[in-house]
Amino acid sequence: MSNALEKCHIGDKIQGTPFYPTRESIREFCEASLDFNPLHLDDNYMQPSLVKPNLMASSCMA
Amino acid sequence: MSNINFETDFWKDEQNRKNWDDIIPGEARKTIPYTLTLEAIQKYCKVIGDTHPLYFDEDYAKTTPYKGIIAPPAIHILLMFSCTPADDWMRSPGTINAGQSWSYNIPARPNDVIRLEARALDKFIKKERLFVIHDNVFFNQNNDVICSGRGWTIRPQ
Repeated sequence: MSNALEKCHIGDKIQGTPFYPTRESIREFCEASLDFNPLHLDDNYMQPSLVKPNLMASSCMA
Repeated sequence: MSNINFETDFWKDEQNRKNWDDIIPGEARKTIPYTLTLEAIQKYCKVIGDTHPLYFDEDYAKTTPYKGIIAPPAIHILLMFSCTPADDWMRSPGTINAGQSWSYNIPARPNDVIRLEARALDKFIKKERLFVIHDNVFFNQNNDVICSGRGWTIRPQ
């Protein structure tokens, strides 16, 4: 644990890897976090919205 | 899932939820104690892709300063839903998360009985949108603060 802290330096950068949300990963996150808001799961609910395609990932998924 | 009675139908209690006009700053929200299980922690970790042994390997976790398996800090996303009833206004479909800020004190652990204290702090209208500012504090069974957060939501109209 202390070793990890010593290896960190101000200005260090983390190179992230791209993440591409899918319907499946969105659904799995909803189930694991108990967030069953239809914004994330229900195409019919989202149909009239301006959001395309018709599901939104949880804002907490980012 | 640990809480088999969790209501997954967001529409069921829609009529019982407070709208923006009914929300009173300072008034405590109804909350429900929740027992956090190892299963729930590990399911959450797998889904977010965090497979650190601190969350999965008790033998490893015992060698760390935490002395056992813990939950990751962002477990509060699960706790927010598990500790609130189905008629809580935060669940209204159309609620938009406009931002949040969290402080983490101590980790949640498997079998913790977690309690939430939550309330609206303020509400206002900006550019015809209905905002509510709220705070949330999670405690364990020893009344230790696990984490606390302040958030901004835009309420559905």
